[in-house]
Amino acid sequence: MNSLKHEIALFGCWLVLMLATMATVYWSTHAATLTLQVVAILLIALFKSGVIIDGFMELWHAESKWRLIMYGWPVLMALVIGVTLLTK
Amino acid sequence: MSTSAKTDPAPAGQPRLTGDLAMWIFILAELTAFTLFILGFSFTQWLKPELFVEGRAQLDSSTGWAMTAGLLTSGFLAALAVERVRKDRAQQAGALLIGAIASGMVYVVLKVQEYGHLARAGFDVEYNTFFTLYWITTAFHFLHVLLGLAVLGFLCLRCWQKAYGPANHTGMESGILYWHMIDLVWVIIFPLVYLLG
Repeated sequence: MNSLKHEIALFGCWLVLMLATMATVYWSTHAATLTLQVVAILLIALFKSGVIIDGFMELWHAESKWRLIMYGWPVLMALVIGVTLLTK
Repeated sequence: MSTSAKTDPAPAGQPRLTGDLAMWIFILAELTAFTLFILGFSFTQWLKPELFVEGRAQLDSSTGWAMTAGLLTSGFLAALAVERVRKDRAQQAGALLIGAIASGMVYVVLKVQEYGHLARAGFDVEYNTFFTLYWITTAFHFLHVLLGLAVLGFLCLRCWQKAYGPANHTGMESGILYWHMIDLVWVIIFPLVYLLG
């Protein structure tokens, strides 16, 4: 990937992150049920985490063990948050 | 910042870990610390859901959105700065880092305003369990933002001194990785504290 393409890709990451953040705020007030709200917002948070990890932190070209560790953190956090919100 | 003075480019197609290995270890340690705060917040919310709904109602999600936008824009400008250093344009990278610091300051100003508003309204750290966890969790992140801004300022100075270039930018990459870690943590904390439930 040449440098210009990489800078365009970074801009794309930023744009997607901003749109996803707007979607997060939208779902916080417009979801019909708590389950829908929690699932939608946490899935968006996971997507945003992936964009930061692979796009900004450039782990897309790292060894898979590093990607697994870094992706594991937001997945674990989302699971804990989701389970604690939806099981009581 | 870096344990190696020169950047060793990996052969094309070979896996490459951006920045210094020591910074990644540090990032994992930081994520572990933030995990404890997020677990504490989540499990207490599980025990006292009504209290958290009431507490969250005192927070402004649009301010949270603006803080998020400031941090993410800052992360984008910092990532661009790394790319410019790789192209041997250190002074352009320095200018981008000034933009990243300014954007990060949006978060700082809004957070300080929010803290002031909540404190004046009586929602201080002792008000109830929600606000105790709110203050502790967000203040821990806020301190990391301040440290990250100091790191960006240092990197900016080094860029103006042309200390980084195509063959020597591991230290720059490592410092910027720390800033992205702060973004990553906020992406989880923002919905947990401001939006969910």
